[in-house]
Amino acid sequence: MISFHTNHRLLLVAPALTFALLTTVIAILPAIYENRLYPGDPDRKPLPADVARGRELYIAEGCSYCHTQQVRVDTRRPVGPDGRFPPLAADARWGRPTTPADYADQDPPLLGTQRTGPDLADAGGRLPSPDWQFTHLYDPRLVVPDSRMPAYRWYFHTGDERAEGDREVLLPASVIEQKGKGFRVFAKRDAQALVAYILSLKTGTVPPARSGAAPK
Amino acid sequence: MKIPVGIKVFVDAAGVDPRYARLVHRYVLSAAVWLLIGTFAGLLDAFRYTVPELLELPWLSFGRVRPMHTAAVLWGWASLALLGVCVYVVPRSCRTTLHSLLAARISLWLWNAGLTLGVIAFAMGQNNGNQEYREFPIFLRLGPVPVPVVPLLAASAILLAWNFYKTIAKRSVQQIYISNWFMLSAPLFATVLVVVGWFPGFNRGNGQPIIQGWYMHNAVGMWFTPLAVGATYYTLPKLLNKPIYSYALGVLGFWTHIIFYTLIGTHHYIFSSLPAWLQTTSIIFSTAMMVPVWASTGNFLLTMRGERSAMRISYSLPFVLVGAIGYGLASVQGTAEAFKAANEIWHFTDYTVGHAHLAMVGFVSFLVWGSIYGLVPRVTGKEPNVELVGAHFWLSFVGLAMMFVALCGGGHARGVGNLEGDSFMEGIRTMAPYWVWRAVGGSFMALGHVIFAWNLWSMRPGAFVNLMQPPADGQ
Ligand code: HEC
Ligand code: HEM
Repeated sequence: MISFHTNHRLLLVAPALTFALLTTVIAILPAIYENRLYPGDPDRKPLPADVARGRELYIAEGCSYCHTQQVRVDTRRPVGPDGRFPPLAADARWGRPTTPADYADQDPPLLGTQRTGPDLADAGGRLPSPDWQFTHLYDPRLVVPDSRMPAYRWYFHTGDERAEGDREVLLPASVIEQKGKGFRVFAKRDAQALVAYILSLKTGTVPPARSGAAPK
Repeated sequence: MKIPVGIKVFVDAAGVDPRYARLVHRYVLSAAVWLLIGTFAGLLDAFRYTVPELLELPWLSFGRVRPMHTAAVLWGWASLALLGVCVYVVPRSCRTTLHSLLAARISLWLWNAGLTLGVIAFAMGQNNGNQEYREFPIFLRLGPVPVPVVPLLAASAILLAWNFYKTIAKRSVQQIYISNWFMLSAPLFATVLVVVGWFPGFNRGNGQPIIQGWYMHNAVGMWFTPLAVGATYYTLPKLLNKPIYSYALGVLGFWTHIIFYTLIGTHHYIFSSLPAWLQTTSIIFSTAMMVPVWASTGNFLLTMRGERSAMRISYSLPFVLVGAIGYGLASVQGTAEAFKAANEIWHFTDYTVGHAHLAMVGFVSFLVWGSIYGLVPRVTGKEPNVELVGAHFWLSFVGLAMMFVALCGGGHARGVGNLEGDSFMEGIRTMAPYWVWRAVGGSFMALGHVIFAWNLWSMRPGAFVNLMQPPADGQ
């Protein structure tokens, strides 16, 4: 008789195989199916170089440990006039719910698991000023006094000299008042890339569910 | 009255191959080093919630230190400590010797090397797309040179699985004890996790969260949990010198665990853009998880029933007791978090972090500590100072309780405030005092970990002369 209590070959194969089979059914096949269903835009252009670089930096700095890019949907409530489910009450302030098609072109998408800071799915729509973004990235507490976000000062430099490729930040009046007239901040290339990425995050329009089939 | 434990340990350790004793100790000692690294990384980020300007160095920024913390405590501390316990339990429960000391030593150093390179990668800003618990890049790029990271870890796990298998195959008892079921399966589960988790091509689009939920959940459920439960199935009967309450319950727990646990990854993405059937399946089986959880927790608690006096004189059993209860509590909490009404409030808040620490510290780490204090002296022949073990216990227990209450209490308050229409910054101000308490609790735990590392050092093999003397209190 075959018995797990005495047959070590069986014990080697059966549990691992069970796990692998269930994994295929519950994760691998559904993931493949989802990506078939939402293949993304076949004519998609690659991200502009600075946005792509900004996304890399976003990952390198682990911004997703504090920021989500995921607005949840409440399928328990009736659909709205646009035929879509409303956002979850807890997420309503962050805009329209994220759809599968929003993630279609992202590898990997940056959903995040924790919302210590605001959701950034629509960060570019909400805060479109590059100079606000630069100031905030340089030192969040200059513009949001109680912020707990780290200051990313190393993407900037202060002083009078502007190096090749730098962009001077137009500081808000409150900051100049606080720091004095001589205080100047220059955004290095990477800071510009990071802000270009943040400003590219917009959820203004709902992407067509199946980009492949959508009219041009 | 104190039982002269020293004599028992002396008898057990007599005749142990000193190379084997050193191997077991090195696994656990490596784990303790990673625990210290991970603890101080965690503490740094914890204090940054109160003082965001703390230590402004690019390679130690919050988001780089956070995966260092989780990788060091999960893949460094908990994994190596549990594997060290396996290296002890598998041959002992099979009444044989480890198949290959050399292979086990190679596994250890492959693992340590992989972790070190991985942590360097995080400092350099290289990670696998912020995908939690699988942040290690496949290759660390040092200039143009790719250095393997994940392949080293995978090779280590496969080598260990082979080593355990060969050991079990040459057992001198007929029955394969339940601990070995868990300990043989876990490295194979881990292999599946690594292959699927790092397979290029899955991690894009709306498929990514499906894989991510499955991976995150099963990293805990198919690696740490089976190893910790398997270790306890050996340690507890050993320390109490009696059989486990119900062997059949253990077998039931084993199979239901594999089936239910695998199906619930999507409960990390309730209300998300993932298909509804996946979300519903995950909620249903999150409830079903109560079966394997209570099969094990209940089994452990019923085995400990009526053993008050043993509990009082043993310095390792209290850790097992807390760990067993921690397993039950963390799991009940996890099931509750899967329900929609609760998930809407708690998800995305620090409540989740509180839950993670209850699971990884209150359950896994406490059980591992119980096994380490209970088993390591039986190969090295040296016992730690009992007062210092007590200090470790209470610092960890009180520190974890503070951290847990602060994170879950604060997370709940912030979540409720959010639903009542608090502004975002009001939410931050709500959390502010709780974050201070988390850091204070974490400091208690950190001190406990330092003491633990010292205790482990004092149990190191080598000075076998000590064994020839009677236990310190002269009994
Ligand atoms: C320790 C957690 C943490 C990390 C890490 C972090 N942030 Fe933040 N972030 C916050 C908090 C808290 C706020 C809200 C207060 C504020 O506006 O500063 C915030 C606000 C923001 C905002 C303004 C959003 C809004 O709608 O008001 C942007 C944009 C932003 N962060 C981008 C980033 C980027 C880019 C990174 C990575 C380089 C990052 N954050 C890393 C915590 C964090
Ligand atoms: C010793 C004191 C410790 C401190 C101060 C500490 C602190 C922290 C901090 C600050 C975070 C990040 C939370 C965030 O992003 O807001 C974290 C996350 C985490 N820690 Fe710890 N930690 C400690 C010990 C441990 C130990 C021993 C383990 C496991 C054995 C552990 C497991 C985890 C896990 C799994 C997460 C991720 C949580 C999530 O993704 O939700 N921690 N910890």
